[in-house]
Amino acid sequence: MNSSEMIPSLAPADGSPQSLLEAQLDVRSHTLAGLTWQRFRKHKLAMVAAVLLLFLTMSAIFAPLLAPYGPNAMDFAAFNGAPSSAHWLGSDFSGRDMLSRVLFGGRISLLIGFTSMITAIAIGTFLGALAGYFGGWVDNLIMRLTDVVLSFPLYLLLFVLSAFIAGVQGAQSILMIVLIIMAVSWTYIARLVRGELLSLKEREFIQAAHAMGVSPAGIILRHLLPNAIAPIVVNATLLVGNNIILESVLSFFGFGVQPPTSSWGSMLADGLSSQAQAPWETIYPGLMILITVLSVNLLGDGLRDALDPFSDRGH
Amino acid sequence: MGTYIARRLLQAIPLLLVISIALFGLLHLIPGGPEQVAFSPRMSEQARHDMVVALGLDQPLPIQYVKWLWGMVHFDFGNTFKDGQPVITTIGDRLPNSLELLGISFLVALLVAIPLGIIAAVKQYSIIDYLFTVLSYTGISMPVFWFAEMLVLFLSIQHNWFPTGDMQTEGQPSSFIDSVHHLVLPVLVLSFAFIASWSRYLRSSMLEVLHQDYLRTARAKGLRRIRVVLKHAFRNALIPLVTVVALDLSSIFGGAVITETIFSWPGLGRLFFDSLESRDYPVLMAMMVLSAVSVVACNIIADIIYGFLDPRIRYS
Amino acid sequence: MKPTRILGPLAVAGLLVAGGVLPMASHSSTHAARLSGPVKGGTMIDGLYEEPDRLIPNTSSMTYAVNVDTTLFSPLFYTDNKGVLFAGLAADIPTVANGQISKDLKTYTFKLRPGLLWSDGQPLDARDVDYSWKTWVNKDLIINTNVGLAQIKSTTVSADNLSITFHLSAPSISFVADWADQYFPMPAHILSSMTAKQLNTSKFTFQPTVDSGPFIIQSRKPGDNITEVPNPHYYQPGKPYLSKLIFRIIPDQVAITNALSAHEIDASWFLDVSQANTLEHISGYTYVPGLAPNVEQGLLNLKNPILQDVRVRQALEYGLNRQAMAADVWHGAIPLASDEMPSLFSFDPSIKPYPYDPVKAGQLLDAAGWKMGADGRRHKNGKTLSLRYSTTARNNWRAQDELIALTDYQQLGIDLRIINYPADTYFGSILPSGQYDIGEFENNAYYDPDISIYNAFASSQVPPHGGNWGWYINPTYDKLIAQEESTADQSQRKVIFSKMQQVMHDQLPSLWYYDPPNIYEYSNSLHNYMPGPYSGECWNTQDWYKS
Repeated sequence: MNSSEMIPSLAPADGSPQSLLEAQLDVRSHTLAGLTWQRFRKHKLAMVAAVLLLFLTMSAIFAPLLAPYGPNAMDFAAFNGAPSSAHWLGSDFSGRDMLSRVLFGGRISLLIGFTSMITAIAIGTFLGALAGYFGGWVDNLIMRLTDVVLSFPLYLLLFVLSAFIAGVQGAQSILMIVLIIMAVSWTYIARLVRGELLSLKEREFIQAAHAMGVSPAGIILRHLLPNAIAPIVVNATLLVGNNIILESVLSFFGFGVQPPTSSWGSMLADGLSSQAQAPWETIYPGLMILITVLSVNLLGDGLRDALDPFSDRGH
Repeated sequence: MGTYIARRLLQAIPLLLVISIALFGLLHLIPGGPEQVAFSPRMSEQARHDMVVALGLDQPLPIQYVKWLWGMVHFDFGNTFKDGQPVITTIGDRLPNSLELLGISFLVALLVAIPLGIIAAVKQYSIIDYLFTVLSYTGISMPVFWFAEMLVLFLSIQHNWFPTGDMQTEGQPSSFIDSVHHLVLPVLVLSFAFIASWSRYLRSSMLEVLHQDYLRTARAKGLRRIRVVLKHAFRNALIPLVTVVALDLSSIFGGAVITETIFSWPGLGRLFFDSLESRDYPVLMAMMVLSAVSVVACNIIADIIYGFLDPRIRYS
Repeated sequence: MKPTRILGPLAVAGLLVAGGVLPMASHSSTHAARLSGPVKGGTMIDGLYEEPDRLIPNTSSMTYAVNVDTTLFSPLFYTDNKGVLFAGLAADIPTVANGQISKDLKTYTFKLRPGLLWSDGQPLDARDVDYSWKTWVNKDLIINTNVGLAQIKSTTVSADNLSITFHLSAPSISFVADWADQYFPMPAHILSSMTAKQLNTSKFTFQPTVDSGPFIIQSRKPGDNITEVPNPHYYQPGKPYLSKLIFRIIPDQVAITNALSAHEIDASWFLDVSQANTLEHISGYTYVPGLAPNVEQGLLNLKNPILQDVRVRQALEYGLNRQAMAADVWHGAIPLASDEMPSLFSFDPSIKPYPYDPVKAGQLLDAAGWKMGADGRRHKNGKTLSLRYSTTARNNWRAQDELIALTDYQQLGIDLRIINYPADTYFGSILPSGQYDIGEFENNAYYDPDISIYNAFASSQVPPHGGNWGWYINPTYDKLIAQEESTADQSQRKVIFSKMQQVMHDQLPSLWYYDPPNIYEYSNSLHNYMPGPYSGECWNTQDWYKS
């Protein structure tokens, strides 16, 4: 980061180095959280993204109150209907109101995005911590496992796993999709956490904890992981966006959420057949995915700068 | 270096073996088999059973696996269930198509991503960087198939500027111009994703390098800025990018399945998808093993290039 | 969004012999009337949704493979787009009258036209027919069907090799029609050197080099296209008109629509109705919901005690807004169904579909003892009225049907659980094993209505013997089937079929929805493109031409 950008307003007029240093030291907060928050606030885009995401989540939660119709209520007079006073965003091939469907679809998409992220993070962190802390054959085994998973192209693995879904109702299909997406996304986190722990565990404060007789679980949970939290949080955020896109790809091939449940991804895939005649059937769900994932990515960017300003880890 | 490569290759063999067993088990766990897919539902049980026997599926799984492995070692991948043709020809027929599509997309992506990444890093926080951030993030935030279908709608249907798909115009003798014409849209779609991710990656690793001390030293010594950037920063920033690109290379086996579907490009991704639908185990096994091999190979290649570029790394 | 390829309209047709009421015109006269100024030359590009697997006749059950096969091989008999039967490679259609069918219906003689040639100039005659059926009954060969062939005891080929006589083990009324639109004779002089096992993996199965149809394969690019050129020795003089016929493989419905919209392909058949909105608006092209012997039904699992009460079944039919399904999915363009598949021949229009009457449905359920509870669900003896509704997964328009069923039945107080399966699992295990209560799928009739009816509702065809997945057992119905199978008189059979349709209508072993068409679209510059209900898209590629 360019140092001249830090706190320009507090720089003394004469520009003497001593004053600059003092100025830079004169920050409003001295806690880790406070510093983090201050760095985050500078990232204008990330702030906007955070607000947007909050708004999207709220509208998903309150969908039943906000939506003018049910997500599957068919209006036989309005097949592929253009936006009108009865249907503000138009209606789809079954006469269902697009606005309501977008609101309810958001619940499913966001649910899948968050849940698959949390499970992937949980498993990845657990396995990565084990590998990083214990080393030896545990590390070897877990790393070979990630090798096996990573040696398959992502989509091929997704399709093979999707082939196992047979005979699921709409709601069950959500669980299956979460599991599938989790199965393909935990490996990156595992490697990340392992890498962090490998470098952290040689530090003096860990060796001190060892000497004091803290159990391995205690060391991992109370000392190692909290210091590795930054990249985990950043990746967790990015994973949400990634997984929402993955879900839409699954829907494109017909493996996504099954009717009568609908997500933004399945709505987008369904609308492709009427792109020319009824563009509202693709534009609105597509836009929602775009805005959500964009916000998530910008948020992740901001978090990375705020939590971990001295390490740019690329992806 | 030679011993390093040999060691890596030897280590890869047990891994590939484990992968093949895991795969075999996984595929046969999938409900339904080719005799259910290919057959009319009102065919008698007897005919269905005859098909199972004809395809060798009635034998116990370990025997089937050993038979398959034995064939593999002799480079005999068997015949497809679908049309009885040798698997190796079925895959071989489509490999050049995938290579063409991915190879050209890679080239285009590199040619665009590298300058973009450098400029964005050098002009950090400028309007260009800002624009670049928004565009590249939009690129990775949009479902690829939506982007592709919109391209087709605008450029192929509403304006007949490009074909909607396929590799060449049918019924006409093949021509270079025609092939290029058909490549434009699929390559645009595929390279878009690569460009977005690679340029950002390059930008951030360039930034990391640009702020390091040794560069300030170079500037202090009076070297021109451009020279500093290109000669020193770029070379070192290139290293992490190489790993990423090399790994993305292995996506030839199935990575382009969305593009291949939308543009009906006869490639390997589509072959895998169709074979999965019809439970064509020989094809699926062959493809996944080949892809595992290519991932391992790409990893080794990436490490070797890494070693060349970064003099601090020496392999024993 | 895969079409039901396994229930594709392969014409295992049943032809009625003796005193045919059916018009059996000779080949040339009827066709000449249809053609008007065909233009020689021209390239036609056809969009194919799935890549064909095996192209040796009768070795593939894929609708699309049979399509392509029909351009490469000629059948002994074929049906046109109205379902009328004609003689192809055969010199005429065997009847009892012309002596080619014995009175006891156990001996059939097929006569071939003289002077037929394979595309390599070798003679095509009865020996090829003999070789073909013997190969198809070989257990080692992967085949599509052997209906009608299993009953052949022996054959005799005449000295001049122009006729072959089949001696059957039992009388058959449909042996001729079994050979219609399929069982294309194979070239014995090329294939007889290979065993059946070798045929399974031969190069010929991927790209036949010698054939008898209007076209021969010039080149085949796997996954991409099959390019065909005229067969110099095709038996119909002056045909085909096209100088090139190209099948372009487009494995995505949206991509097919795009190719049609951009005028890159001339036609495509068996399209998915989810594309209808766009397909109907392509300029210069004609959209046709083609006549087809299909019925979309909700088969009822009669082993479930709830469904054994006919009042419950009738309530399900009255309470379902099938008109909404027709309007919603098919834009109202199709008729509702009243009973088991009407083939073009036996359809009785006096039997009307049930009206949509939710009030009556409620009354019927009340009468059956299912009372509405406070929870909005009906109960009887402590049990809730709960049913599993299943169909094929990844199918947009079936999902719409399900939605309507869900809404309608919820209002009736029925707890409907929707569980969908991939097509192969659905037909391969769910339906046969009865793991459903209402199973929606599309049933296809053949030329002779007996075949599909018998398979679906005869008591002897319950799993694992046949396709009576609903376990419908009705001795009266079985008697009617036996009657129509033993009557040679068409008009009498029609009366019997009427009675059977009435039973289907009154007894409701299945819910009857509507008759889905086979949708196709073609360029206005393409002529004589007229897919038939039983014979598929390519029965007359020799007549296609472009202007």
